[in-house]
Amino acid sequence: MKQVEHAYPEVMNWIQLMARATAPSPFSDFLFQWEEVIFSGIVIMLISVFAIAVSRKIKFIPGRGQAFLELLISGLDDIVTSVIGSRGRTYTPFVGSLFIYIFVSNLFGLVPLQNSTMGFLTTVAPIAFCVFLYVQWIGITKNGILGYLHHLCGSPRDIFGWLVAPLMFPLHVLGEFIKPLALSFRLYGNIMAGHVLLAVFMGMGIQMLKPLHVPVGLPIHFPFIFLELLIGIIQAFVFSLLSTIYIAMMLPHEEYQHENHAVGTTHG
Amino acid sequence: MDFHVIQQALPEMVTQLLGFLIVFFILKKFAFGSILGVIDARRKKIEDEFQGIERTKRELGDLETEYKRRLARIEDEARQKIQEAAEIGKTLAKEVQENAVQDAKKMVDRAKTEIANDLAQAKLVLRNEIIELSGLMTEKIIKHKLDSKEHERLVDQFIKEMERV
Repeated sequence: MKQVEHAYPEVMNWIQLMARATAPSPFSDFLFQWEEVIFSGIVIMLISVFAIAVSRKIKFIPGRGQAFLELLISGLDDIVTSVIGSRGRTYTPFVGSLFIYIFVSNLFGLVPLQNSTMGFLTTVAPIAFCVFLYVQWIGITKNGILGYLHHLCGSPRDIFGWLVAPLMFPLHVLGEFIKPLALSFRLYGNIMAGHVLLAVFMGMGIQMLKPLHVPVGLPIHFPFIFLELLIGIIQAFVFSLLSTIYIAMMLPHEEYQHENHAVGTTHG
Repeated sequence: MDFHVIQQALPEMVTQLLGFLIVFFILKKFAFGSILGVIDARRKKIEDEFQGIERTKRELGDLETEYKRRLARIEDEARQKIQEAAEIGKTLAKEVQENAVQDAKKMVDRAKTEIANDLAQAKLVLRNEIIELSGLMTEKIIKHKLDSKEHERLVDQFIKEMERV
């Protein structure tokens, strides 16, 4: 059975409240077990409902919802195509989905009695694993098996390159596995730290008014909500941007350099 | 590494992975595909409209040049026609003047002829009246009537003498 209490202080959410209220029972065990999944489900539903509702009323002259979604998607598309090149649009839906899912989850965590699932390794690690699989799949389909192995050997071009290839191969393979780990721990660490920070300051606020025997605390944690908002946006952006860079690094080098040169020339 | 914890968390992690894949497919189908399509369509429409505006500007510029050229040509033609009309006007005025002079001369000649005719007529009437008067006077003086032949002879003689005088 899953641990009921985490090792760090955290702000109570409605699932924990319900689980504690019904504990000990199979229902409370279920809630504790699937807490992150339930929150992820809510976030997925919110995103899906909004996307489907907007897509059903897409017009040439956009309404508010469509304008917001267009702004977001065109911004993400610009970022992806500026890193990868004009052919990067193929990867915009994946990178954009990463950003939107992480961003909305982080925002959702700031709503009272809700929680951001990005503060849990069990949520972040599968997403990073998904990025890992996607990047490897791109590497194999775009380069071919031999090209993919050539890439993992450090793309040797001369005799010296081939001499160090046996050394480069394990390093690159290790690097490929480290990438999702770095992605997941960075996001998880930042968001979890934010939760802990909020929980600590909220606890301090409650302790400050405890002598007065009132059922409230001083809201000294409120400046950190804005900090968390900022961190939530930045971390979603960093995760998406790094995923884009990993994709770009896995694409055939000639194509990537040519595309980037073309984009640079156009922008220049 | 505690594989027991990983084993416990595995169903949750797989569920989270599926959750993200659901988000990805929904966003790809409903958001990215259609929104990027609309953005591209709008971008293309704006580009087309700008190109159309540029094309229209060029056409308008060409039309302006053409119309200026035509206006200049029309002005030249108008000036030339005005000059021609002025020349024709002068010629007509001259002709009218000449015709008027000729008509006036004809009228004067006709008037002179009529006066001469009237004068001759008047002379003839006067002579006849003189003849009659003189006949009457002579009858009164000589108390007898002259025959008509003698009377006319005497009058003619008298008139001739008068004309001679």
